Amino acid sequence: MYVIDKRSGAICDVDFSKLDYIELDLFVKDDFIFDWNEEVSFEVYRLTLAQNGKTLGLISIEMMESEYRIHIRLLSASSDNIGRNKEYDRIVGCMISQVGMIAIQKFGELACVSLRPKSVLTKHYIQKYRMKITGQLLSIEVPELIDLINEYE
Amino acid sequence: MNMNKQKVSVRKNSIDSFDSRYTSEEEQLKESIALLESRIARLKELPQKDVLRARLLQLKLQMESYVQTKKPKSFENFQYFLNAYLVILYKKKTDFANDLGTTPVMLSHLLSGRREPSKEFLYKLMTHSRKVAKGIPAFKDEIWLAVFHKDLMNSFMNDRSNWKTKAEKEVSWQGVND
Repeated sequence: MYVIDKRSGAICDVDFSKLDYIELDLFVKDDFIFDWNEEVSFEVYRLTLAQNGKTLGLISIEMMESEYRIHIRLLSASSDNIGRNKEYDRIVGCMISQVGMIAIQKFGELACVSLRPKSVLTKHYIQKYRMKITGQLLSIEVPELIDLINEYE
Repeated sequence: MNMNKQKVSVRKNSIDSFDSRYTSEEEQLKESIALLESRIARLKELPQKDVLRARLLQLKLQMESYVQTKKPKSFENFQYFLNAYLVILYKKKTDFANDLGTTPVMLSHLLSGRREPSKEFLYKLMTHSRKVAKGIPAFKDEIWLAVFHKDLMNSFMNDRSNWKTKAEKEVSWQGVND
């Protein structure tokens, strides 16, 4: 799994790992927008650069086992990686595909990953990740989920 | 709204960061029901090939997790994963045995753990996985070797109490003289 350095075009390996609730304090709002301490009851993961361990993004998820679904609660790239002048490309895709892998490992062909971003963002997620819309919810399931995993693996 | 607040609000709702949390249980329930209905309709139309791809990817991820974890689940081992592979791809054990070029009796012994896989069987299983992966790209053949290796290590470590005392008594070393 990798991200692309936008300035040099270099491919940089990344790791995805689960955070301990004690570590949530390390991520301040200035860098990651939300108050991640509010997510203490949920699973929070981070995407880091393999070469130096720098955190590029955070994501918190809710396991909805009875629905064979994982719901993305919060997602944030680091402040250096938001908007047109971001340092690295593919951060969000890497995090969503990793959550997809967790969903497939648990639920097989029934796996589903969902999110409900503001309506202005839905078009982007539908086009970029081939998500489907139901009411306010966007979701990605098999086979599109497998294609996404293969694209970002 | 001052400039800073405006900036934060934009960052909170961009393609690179968003808050996707439900605001009430009622809202969550309503959306869950609607989503489930549309998913069930889509699942009914899901081609068998995609079901196989998903199940093989699930098995691959479970095997990778088994290889990497320090605390594997008690039921996980080579036989368990071999059986899962068989169930995904075949209806009858005899068909799997035939495709592997082995006998149904030998396969049963391997599935029950009465026999350990030979090198020949591992090569055949890996070749089979390679052929399966041609149509369904997800499954890497080397994972079988990694699982077999992990089994050996687990078995060795679980058996520690049987050999540790004896080994401590029988093995000695005088140390290095300065």
